[in-house]
Amino acid sequence: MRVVRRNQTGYAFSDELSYSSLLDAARVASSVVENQSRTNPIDVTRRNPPQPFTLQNPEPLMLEYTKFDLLQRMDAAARGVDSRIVSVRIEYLDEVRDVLIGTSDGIYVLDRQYLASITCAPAAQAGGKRGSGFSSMGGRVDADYFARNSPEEAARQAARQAIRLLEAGPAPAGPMPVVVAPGWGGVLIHESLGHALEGDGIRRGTSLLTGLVGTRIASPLVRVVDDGRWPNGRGSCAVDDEGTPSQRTVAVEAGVLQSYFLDKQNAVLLGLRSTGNGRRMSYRNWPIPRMTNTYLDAGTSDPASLLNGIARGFYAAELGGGSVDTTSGNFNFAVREGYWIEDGRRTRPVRGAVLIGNSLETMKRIEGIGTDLVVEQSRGTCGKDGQMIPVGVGQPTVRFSSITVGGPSI
Amino acid sequence: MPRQPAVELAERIRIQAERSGAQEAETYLETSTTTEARLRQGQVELLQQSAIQGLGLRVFRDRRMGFVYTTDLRETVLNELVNRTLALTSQATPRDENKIAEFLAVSQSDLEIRDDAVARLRPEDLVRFARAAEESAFAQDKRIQTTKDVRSGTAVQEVYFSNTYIPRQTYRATTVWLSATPVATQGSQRREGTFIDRKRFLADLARPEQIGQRAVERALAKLGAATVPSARVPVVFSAEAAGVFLQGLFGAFSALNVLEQRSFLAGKLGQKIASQNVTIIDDGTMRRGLASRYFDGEGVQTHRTVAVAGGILQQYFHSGATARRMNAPPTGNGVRSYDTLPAIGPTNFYIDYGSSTHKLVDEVVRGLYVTGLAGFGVDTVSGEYSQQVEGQWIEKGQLTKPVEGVTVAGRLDEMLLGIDGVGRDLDFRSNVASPTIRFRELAVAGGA
Repeated sequence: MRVVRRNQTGYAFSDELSYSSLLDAARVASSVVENQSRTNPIDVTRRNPPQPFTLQNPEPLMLEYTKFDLLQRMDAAARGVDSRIVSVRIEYLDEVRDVLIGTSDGIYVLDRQYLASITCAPAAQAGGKRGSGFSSMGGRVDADYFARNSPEEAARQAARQAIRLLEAGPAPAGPMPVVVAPGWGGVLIHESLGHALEGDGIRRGTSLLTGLVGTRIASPLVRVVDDGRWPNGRGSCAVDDEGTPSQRTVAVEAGVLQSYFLDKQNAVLLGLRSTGNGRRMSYRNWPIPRMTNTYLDAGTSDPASLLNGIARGFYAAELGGGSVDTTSGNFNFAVREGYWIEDGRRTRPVRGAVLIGNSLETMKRIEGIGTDLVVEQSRGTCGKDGQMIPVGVGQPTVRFSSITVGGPSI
Repeated sequence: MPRQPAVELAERIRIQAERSGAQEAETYLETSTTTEARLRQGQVELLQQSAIQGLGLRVFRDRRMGFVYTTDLRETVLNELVNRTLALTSQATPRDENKIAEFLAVSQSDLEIRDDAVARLRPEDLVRFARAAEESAFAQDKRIQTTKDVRSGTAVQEVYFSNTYIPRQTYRATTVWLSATPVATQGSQRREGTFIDRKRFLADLARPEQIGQRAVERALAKLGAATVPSARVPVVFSAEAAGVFLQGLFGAFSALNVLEQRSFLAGKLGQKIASQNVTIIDDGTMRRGLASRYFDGEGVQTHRTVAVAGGILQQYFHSGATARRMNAPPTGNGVRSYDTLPAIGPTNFYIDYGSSTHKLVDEVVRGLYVTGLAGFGVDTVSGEYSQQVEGQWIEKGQLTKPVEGVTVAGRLDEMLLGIDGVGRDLDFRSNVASPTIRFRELAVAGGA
């Protein structure tokens, strides 16, 4: 139960769906606007929101014994890669979420949302060195997804990554040209630019991108899109958690800031309209502006050519998690699998690198974008204000003229 | 929810599971009420109250485990829950460690984790605390024109536990917190600083004025920050930064990670893993500790466990299952909520205070004082460490200029052995804490 008056919000919920508990929640939520103007009752009719994509048979996604069988096959596949794989952790998750939203501005929608994922994390050990790998599958998918895609191959891929770490040397340190691989590498855009575009920081004036619509904030090659309707995306839904239909928002076009990511409350306070980015973890949380599936759009460069001319640089084949301070724009992310670039070629593997930078500086240093856009639909959980939600991120191969690599080799 | 029916409910469902075919069963019923007010520019931006209740049921049959939880505590739902949980066991793989953890008698001493003064606080009290903190922030300096927000809240948690060997156990605990995040502006540069205090007892909470003031100091200290050239230098972690560093290290001490070869500390019991001035403790029995409790999520009595004494690795942290697998005594680290299985986690986890009475930066000729850490570059499997940091540059024992846009990196094993100073400023504002610590030398990666 959320009661909103301008910038003020009252929020309460009940785990118990009895009339008296709900009335209690309503009382607590409305205490913040006590003695203020009243909202009159209105008529609502339930709408069926248009779905962004159709799932043929998502429910039940799988029977229990099928899931166990799947996990065992993956475990065997990962261990089969190399005798140095000493343990494997595999997690399967599927959920069906029914959401009913009613608002005093006339929205009344019911939506059913499916989500499934498998993550596989093997650990390798040899001669006192250890390393872990990671791979994931899933998204908002049909039941036959795990039959059409090979879970064993995902497991083997994660195992090979763990083994490679055993042979990797220490990461370099300092600023250098960096090339980031497509797909999950889009977490870079999510952290460096995405969070600072969220409407709460803009409305409060604390985000470094406040008031910059119409201003060049990135290299002219850059188009950034947030698409709540990307097929099978982890961040996709028919409506956001305020009942606003999801949409495709172009946030940055040719390097110029076009739009923020907005929920209803912050949109109204800014004199704008919601972009369908009001999301929440569950009924226990109030909606705040969040990303859906956010990606740096495809460019025109041949991906292989993006390493050309780099005498000494860093190639991030796979990133880990990242975070950002939206006031300063300082961001960081871990590198799960990284390599040296020497004389235009990807060479030796390294371990223990992080990449850091400042949003505005880094976005201006994008000097090449590949044609090979991939939006990662199987992993990505974004945390903000204690609320964890599934998101998609994506990008093609991207080259930066300089990013600070934080490794131990000085 | 009234106290008596909850404890009876937990016991009744557990007995019902046993009568329906479970050889052992365990119920964990939790209720919690959280209230938080957020203030900004003198206005209440958010007032929220959440009342959570939920029950988790674990059953064991022929060393196979089933687990289900619900927030719907109606009779019909709970009956279905029991059947569903038992049905799951038939699918599970039997494992020797799938058994209720051995129970140790609950200590009689009062841990002082419940303060009725906290439970009695009303939303208007929280708003008053937040207002005082924000006003104090604005009063400090004219470069503070706005705040991200100021938050004040309370939580009252009750746990009702029952298993085949312990019919009824309960505890009630309170937490109160106050945080401020002012934004300092100078020219076109904006930097935020946060200071948060969190306590079991209201009387122990820092005064709102102090919180506003400390937060402002942090925001102002960042103005004008710039990167520094890469260098290998001594690095001092402030108490708060060291606490965050320690939090990232916990996984290395988890017995499950050790068993699965996912810890750089695997196979190092009895060995020197840190310098002699490092002692690391997890104490679930600390008086007024933020994570103190009488028993863990499996009903095991909480302990004071010395993991590292004088640099020597003494113990890993256990759940009931890992203690059984490694034939070690349980440490009461089975941390959970009603909706999760017990997993090895910290209680009050800290680096003990050391012998350095003076400021550790005094002796540093040229180095980095780190006040904030961010990012995911702590790999307790491989032992690689690299994080984004902010702080102050040290020249001849003095803090000379604010620093950002740098990382510090090293290998965790070498870093722990290279700690050459541990301060005495241990202060629990989180359940993981440390005094100031100094690393003899780390790689600082910065600008060209």
